[in-house]
Amino acid sequence: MFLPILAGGGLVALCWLLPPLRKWKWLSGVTYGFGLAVGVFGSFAAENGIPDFPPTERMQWLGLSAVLAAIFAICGSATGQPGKERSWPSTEFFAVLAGAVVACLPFIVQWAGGELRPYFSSAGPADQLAMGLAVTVGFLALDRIVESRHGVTLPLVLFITFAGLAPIADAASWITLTFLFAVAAGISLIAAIAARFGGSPSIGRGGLLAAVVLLVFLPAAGYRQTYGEFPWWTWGLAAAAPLILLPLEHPWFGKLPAWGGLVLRLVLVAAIVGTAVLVALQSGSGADSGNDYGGFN
Amino acid sequence: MFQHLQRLQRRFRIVRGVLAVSLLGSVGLAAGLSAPGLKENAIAATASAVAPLNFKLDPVHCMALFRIHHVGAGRFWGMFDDVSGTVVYPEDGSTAPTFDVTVKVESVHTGNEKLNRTIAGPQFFNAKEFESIRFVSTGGKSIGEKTWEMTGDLTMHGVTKPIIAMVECTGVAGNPVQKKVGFEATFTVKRSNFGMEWGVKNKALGDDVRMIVGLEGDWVR
Repeated sequence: MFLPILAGGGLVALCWLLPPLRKWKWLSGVTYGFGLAVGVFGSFAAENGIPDFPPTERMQWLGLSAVLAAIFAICGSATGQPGKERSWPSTEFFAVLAGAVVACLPFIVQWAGGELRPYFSSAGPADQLAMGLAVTVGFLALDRIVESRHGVTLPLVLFITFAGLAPIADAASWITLTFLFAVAAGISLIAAIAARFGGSPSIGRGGLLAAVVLLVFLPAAGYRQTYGEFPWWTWGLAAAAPLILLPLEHPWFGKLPAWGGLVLRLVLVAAIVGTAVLVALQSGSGADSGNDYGGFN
Repeated sequence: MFQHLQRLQRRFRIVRGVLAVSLLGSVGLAAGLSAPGLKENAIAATASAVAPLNFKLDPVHCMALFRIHHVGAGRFWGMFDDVSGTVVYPEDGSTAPTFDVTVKVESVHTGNEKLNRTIAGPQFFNAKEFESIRFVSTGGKSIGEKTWEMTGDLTMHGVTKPIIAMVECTGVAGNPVQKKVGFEATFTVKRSNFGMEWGVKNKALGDDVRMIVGLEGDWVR
């Protein structure tokens, strides 16, 4: 688990801390998303091998979603650099395109010679559509935050989010998924530290899109493929926690001092994620004590 | 006097008639026993003792136990409760039984709910995607009294591989109306051959899985 964190986090730290690399704004915007994808893919591959394409097992979508995140990290940054006036409708167009790719990927898999089937067990076309929609809406909603919040805010928010999803995945008894969330959290924490000392770079649209893709795919896999005995919305609540940043962009909150605004944001995100974690863990422990398997009658 | 003689004659005729009828009846019975139709029935009655009977597995008294090495230290056991299928077997064990056994993965039971979820989950059996384990026998070689080395195809985690299992008939019980038969099968598989490779390389969990399957079937007429 530590090697993927070092690989992904190292990439981010290099690009955000080394002065020659910091000059390349485009690279700065790509690096968080790409580092995140490298770390998650590395963690998946270390445990389960390189995923096949087309996938032979649904679990391989975890590794493939990291590949998708890497591609989106590069392409997302091509839609414009943070701080510069973006050329409408490139961002919106790219958000819809990314969502469409996610919704239609099973059809692309079929075109590539694979079997046409939903991403995950017991899922259907509605799930694919919902996942694609979540990518589009998540990207568009948080794009404003990427524009306005440079530095440690988003990496720390994503750190809390991924770190909270790890115990939820553990409560669902999926070791690989737990590690993937832990790796993503570790890379986000390194990114936050690097941002603190690297001149407050932005994670960029590429970084945001990569994070959104992972925050859609991984919890969806966790919900559909495991036997976690907690409510389905636990996954969604934790994964959607960064959206709380949107109302906090209200001018009223702008009156707060910088540190106050940061603390408020982190506390709110942590409260939402913490609630989801508590629900998951309490449901899990309840199931442990009430073992209903194997009646010997 | 004359009347007395007539009475004696009548009695004699009655006795003669009864004797004649009895004789005819005896002859007829003997002839009947040697008739071709009844002969066939008798042969069939003898053959039914060795003809293979169909049994349906009784899920209440069937289970599949597995044992696996954990982190190179202890070996832990688990069990699948939901076992179903069919067995074809002659009561006298003159030929090898044939099996078609299906185990529902979600019925895994280790005594710990979290471990149950882990084993049924995507890390190992991935039961949401591969719901069952199936064994279909393809042949059997006798290696002792009512003991066979069975070959068959085991489908697990979406992968089908031939395996060899030692099978012992543990008994046939019942009466001409109701019969039960029991078997115990033991075999070892490498889970990595079935695409379940998690933890094999770093020895978090052993590759060899020892299985003991207890089966009991009810005669289906």
